[in-house]
This record gives sequence, C-alpha cells and structure tokens, in this order.
Amino acid sequence: MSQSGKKGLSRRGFLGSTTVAGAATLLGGTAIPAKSQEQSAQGNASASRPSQAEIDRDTAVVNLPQVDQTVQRPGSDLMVEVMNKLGIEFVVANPSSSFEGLHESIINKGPERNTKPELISALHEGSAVDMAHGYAKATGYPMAVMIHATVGLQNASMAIFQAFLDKTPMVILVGSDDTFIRAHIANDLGALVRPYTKWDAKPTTLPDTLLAIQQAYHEAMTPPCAPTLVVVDSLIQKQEAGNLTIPEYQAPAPLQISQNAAQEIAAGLLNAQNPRINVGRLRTPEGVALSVTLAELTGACVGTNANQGPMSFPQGHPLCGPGLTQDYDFTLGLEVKTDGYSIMAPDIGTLQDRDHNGVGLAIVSSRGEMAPEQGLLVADAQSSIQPIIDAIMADTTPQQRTEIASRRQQIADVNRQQRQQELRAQLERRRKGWGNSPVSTARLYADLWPHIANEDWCIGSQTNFSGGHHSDIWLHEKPYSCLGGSGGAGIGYSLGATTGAALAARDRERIVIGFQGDGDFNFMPGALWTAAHHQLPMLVIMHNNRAWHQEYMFIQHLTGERGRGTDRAHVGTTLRDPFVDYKMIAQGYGVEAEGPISDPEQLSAAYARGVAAVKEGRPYLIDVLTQPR
Amino acid sequence: MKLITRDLSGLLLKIQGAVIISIFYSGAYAQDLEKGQEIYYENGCYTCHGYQGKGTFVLRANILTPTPPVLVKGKAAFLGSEVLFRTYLRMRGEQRHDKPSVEMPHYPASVINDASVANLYAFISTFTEDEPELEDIEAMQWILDWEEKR
Repeated sequence: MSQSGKKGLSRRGFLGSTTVAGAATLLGGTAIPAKSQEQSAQGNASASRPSQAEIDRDTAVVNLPQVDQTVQRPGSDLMVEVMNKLGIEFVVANPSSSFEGLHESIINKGPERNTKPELISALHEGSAVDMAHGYAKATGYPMAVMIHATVGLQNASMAIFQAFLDKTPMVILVGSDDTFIRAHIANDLGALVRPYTKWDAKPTTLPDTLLAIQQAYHEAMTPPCAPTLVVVDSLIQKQEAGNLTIPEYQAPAPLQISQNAAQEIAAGLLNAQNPRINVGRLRTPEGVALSVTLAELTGACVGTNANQGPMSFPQGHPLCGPGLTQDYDFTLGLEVKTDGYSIMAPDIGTLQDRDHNGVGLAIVSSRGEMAPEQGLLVADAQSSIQPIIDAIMADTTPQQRTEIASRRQQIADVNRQQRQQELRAQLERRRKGWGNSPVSTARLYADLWPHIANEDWCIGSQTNFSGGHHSDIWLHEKPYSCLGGSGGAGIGYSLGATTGAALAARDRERIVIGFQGDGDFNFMPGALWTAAHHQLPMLVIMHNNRAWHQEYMFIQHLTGERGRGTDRAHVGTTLRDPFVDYKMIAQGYGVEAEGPISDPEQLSAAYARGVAAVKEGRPYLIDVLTQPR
Repeated sequence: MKLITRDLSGLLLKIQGAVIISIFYSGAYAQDLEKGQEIYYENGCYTCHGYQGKGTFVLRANILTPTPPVLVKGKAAFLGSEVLFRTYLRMRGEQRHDKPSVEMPHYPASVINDASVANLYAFISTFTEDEPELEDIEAMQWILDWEEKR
C-alpha cells in the first residue's frame, strides 16, 4: 500500500494505479484489474431513462432469456464460500435482479443452506445498512449488505455515511447488471458513496471478485474501521466456476506501537503510585478483555466510555471509577486522548481530506512510534495492549506485585463507595416529575432497569434524544451494553440499528432494547417486519413526544428572537392531526405491541410483558407517551 | 458572555421594580384556568418546561439554556405574583430590542395580551412539587439495593 498524503492519488484512481499491486500483495493474490477505458467510454448513457422493454422485464411481463446449459458450480457459490470463511454471519438485502445469483447461492448452497451467511430480509436499503451498523457495533465484526445498483445504493447512502463517521465496519456488495435497465447501471457505482466509504472495487472476473470481497473485509476491519464496497457483476455471479478455489485469506494485523514504546508505557504504569487508564472504543470484545487484564496487572483505576458507546471497559469492574485521588502520576489513553500517553488509531478525517488522501491509506502513514511532544502514538490501541502486557509481565518485581494488589483493593473500596453515592445523587435528580403524565423520560429508563438488570442486555438505539438516563443509573458491564449514536447525527438510524443488534443477540441468549424516538421511527419503520420475520429479541420502547422536538424548540427560540410569538411553532415540527398509532403500525408488521401508555403507573407492568416476550424471541413494542424530553 | 451579564443586570432592576409594584397590585384580570392551560399548550411552554412545569431533562433547551426552570411557585422569583410574571414575560422582549432574550422566547403584549397572561399565570400557579421521596419510589429503591448487593 502507498503512503497517504500523495495528493494525486485519490481512491477514484486507487484500483487503476500501482497501488493495486500493493493491495493484492497484502492478500497474497493477484491484482484486481481496474475498470477498462472502454467501459468508461460508455459514460453518460448510464443515466438514461428506462425503455419500455426494460420496464416490461422489470415487471416480469416478458419471458426471461433461455439458458443453453446448466451451470454446475456458479460463481456466486464461491462468493458465499468466501463470506463463510471470513466468518460473516448475515447478509441483509432487499431482493434485486442484479444479485439474484448471489441471493440464490446464499439460500441454497449446501451443506448448511442459508447459514453463515444467513439471508436477512430488509424493506429498505437504508434500513439494511443501519442493521449492519448496529450488528457491527454489537459484535465488533462486519456483516454484509447486498444492494441493487444505482437506485438501491442511493437509498442506502445516508446510512452508509453515518456508519463511516461512526468508524463501523461492513461489507457492501452492490449488484450490477449491464444487460438490464440502463438507469440502474453506472460505470463507476462506487463513486456514488466514495466520499464516505473507505475502499471500493469493481472487479471484472470471478477470481478478482472473490479477492475483492476478502480485501473489502480486510479494509473494513483495519483501523480506522469503516464500510467498504464491492460491485458484484450479475454475469460473474452466474458464470461457471469450474475448478476455481477460493484464495487464502490472512486476517488484518493492525499496526501496533513499537517495542520501545510498549516498554516505556509498561515502565510508566509499573512505577506510578496512582496510574490511570482511560478506555475509549476498542474494536472487539477481545480488546476489552485485554484492557481488563492490563488494568488488573498494573492496579490502575480506569475511566470508561461503556455508558456512551460500545467496546469499552466494564463499568462495574472494581477498578472502574475515579480511584483514590485524581492526581494521577501516569495516564494512558486507549483510543481516547489523555494528558499523558495516548494510543489512537488514525482518525477517519474530514470529508475534504478523504477525497484528497484516501482514508484507506492513512494507516501506513505512521509507524506507531512515540510523538514525544504530545505522548500520542498513532496505532491500533487494541493490538498494542498485548505488547504492553508482555513487557509488564517480564518486568514486574515481587515488591511491585504486592503494592499493586494492595492498591487494587483500596481502589475497589473507594470506587464502590463513590459509585453508590453518585447513583443516589443521580436518582435524586430524576425524582422530578416521577408521577406525572405523560411519563417523564427519567422514568422511562428507571422503571425498566429492574426488569433487565439481571439479564444479558444491549441498548441498540441512540438514547440522547430521550435523555440518555441509562448512562447514570444503569450499569454497563458488557462490550455491547450501549451501542451509542448514529455517528452522523442523522435521523432514521435507531430502529434499523436496534434490529441489527438484535440479529447479533438472537443466537447469543441476549435481549436488545431500543429507546425509539417517534420522528426517527417514521423514516424506516419496516425494520419491524424484519424483526418479526426473523424472530429477533428486541424490545422497542417508544419515546413518543409527538414531535420532532429538537426542531420544535429551535423554531420556538427563533420566533421568540423575532418577537412573533410561539403559537405557530408547532407547524411543521409536530406529529399531530392525526397522532400516529405505533401499536397499530407494529401489529401490522407482525410485532406484538401495546400502548399508548401515558399513566406512569402502567409502565412497569408493560415492561414485564415486553421483556417476557423478547426473552422468548418475540419482538415487542411499547408505545409510551412521554414528556418532551 | 458580557451581553448576557448586561441583560441580566437590567432584568434584575426590572424585577426589583416589579416587586415594589406587586406589593400594591395583585392583578386586575379575571383568571380562567382552562384558557390558561390552552395558552400554555398552544405556545409550547411545555416543550421546555414539561406538561406540569417540572422542566425537562434536556441536553439544551435552546441555544444557551442548559436546564429550563421548574415552574413551581417558590422555585422561580418571577412566579411571585402575576405582575412579576407579566413583567418577566414582557421585559424579555422589550428590554433590549437590539439584543433580544436568548434564554427563552419573549412575549410582548402583541403576542400574549395582559388578560391571557393572567390566565396563563393562573394555570401555572396550579403546578406543585408532588414527587415522592426517593425511598418511596419502588424502582429507585430497587436500583439502590441492587447496586449495594452486587
């Protein structure tokens, strides 16, 4: 791979340059050819309107062309094999002619048909991408999304944009059928979303397609993690593969800090009397486990982001908290900036930078060496923990072990006391409006906790619009306890993301909670059908304030500034006349539901019913009328 | 920040003046709770203050105010009397025309007339602090017990 910062090398030309060889070498395979000049020259015709014949075929009023031979081993079977070897559990899609070959392979290729990957049905491409987003944050690993050509990709684009900003890996397979509707074809499909995908390819042969899917997975999982895209030609999906075998795959080896840096950090942690580790968002649960080991070996108190987002330090661990005093004499940040040493993967950057530099190349711009003036090491923190642990194991003296054990106990006692005091203070704040109707947002969260505290749970939705009260009064113990926001602050994310988290939960004896804003819900409510169809364990709790409330307040503010009164601020900002019946919508999609509940005394019993259903694999929606925020 | 300070100092002067007036004047308008409730909802007071005036758990009620005040008598000085309340609403719009209030919308007489203010004040005056103590809230007590036992 090339160094970043080569201004002339955009990802538009990535596959068409010498960089191709580097990318292919990484996988030990052959280079993926760039799109030919001839294909490029077809140019503008791709945007023409569909002809009547094309529309007729799309609506199946004509006979499909006859095939003159039966393909014994379709190319798409090998694509499924590749995904299986990569460990991809699910492929989510809204069905389409351009990836029908791949679709058929997923559901019929043996020996275990429709298993790893399993086809998941979505009603909208944006919803499909949101599901992959939620799944990846819950597991740390990507699933795949199949999308149909220009039209499907444009539907999906906002959701891809958010996943990119949220540094979330997923593999997007875009079907392309050059023989079909011209309006659905583009010479450069990846260009539609290139500013916010990390890597893309348009392979022209079956071997290159297999290699590209592997490379897409590899790039998605290499920090900074992000969506990647492969255009999968429909004819390649259907061609005979013969004796072709799938290429060997080597998992990513993200950049670690240098040995010198690891030893320096290890010495700092061991020699400190009051060390501190702050943990941000690591990549996978394995990284979280390593951070726990590191804290325990060094007797450091730990700061966590587990109540705000995924893959951080368990909030209930005895070392998690402010510790003995806050005058720390050595501080280490893992994917979070601290005043001391910080190990952080390269940032995804700004849109402008991405277009010029190609974010996929940024990782190699650093060698993980110390930047002494800032204590910043640009490297993958998760991969860098083990070398620090190794150095600590080698260098810890018996006396240090004794001191660390003693400090661990002291910190645990102090943290426990502090947590209990803080919890009481946070609950005290939330008494406000406890008995009011509609239900206070604090009660929305507080009443649920007794029903799930002893379950294995995950919050799949964003929670900031409904007060995010779980952050202060629940305990976030698992890498997936809280999956955080959308990344791009766009609306429409939560229901799909909750559904994706529930996909991850289905076979893991876990339940998923979604605190679902009403405005957000109405973008892509069809995710509920996916939850019903695939029997996903997800409890959707409507934060129904019957408005796009943030905007309502902004308009009020502005009308106030202009002295025109607030009595019309509801115009265009509220969901009234008529009110939306979320119970009926959910039931229409096949999801059990109840509500609207405005009496707070009815809430806990409804939660009991909802949690019981979800534990049996039945999605459930409770519509709760709430105070605005 | 300076502008806000200047606005606030002006506001305090007005409130002092209004306090003096209110000693002798308790409001001359009939108070209609139902109409007051209508004004409260139609003007979207509830969006920041909640349906029962308890405020909301907001990240930001508007651009500069992190937490809207609880609308319960005794908790906010401007609820001391109808005159104080009216003065508070009015001055927010009329104190500095070039630097309008940024904490919440302001309400000159052209937007809410005096009779409507009286009704609104009457409705807001029905708000009370009626929350149970923490120990009397089953869910919260459960949360505290769970934390202690874990």
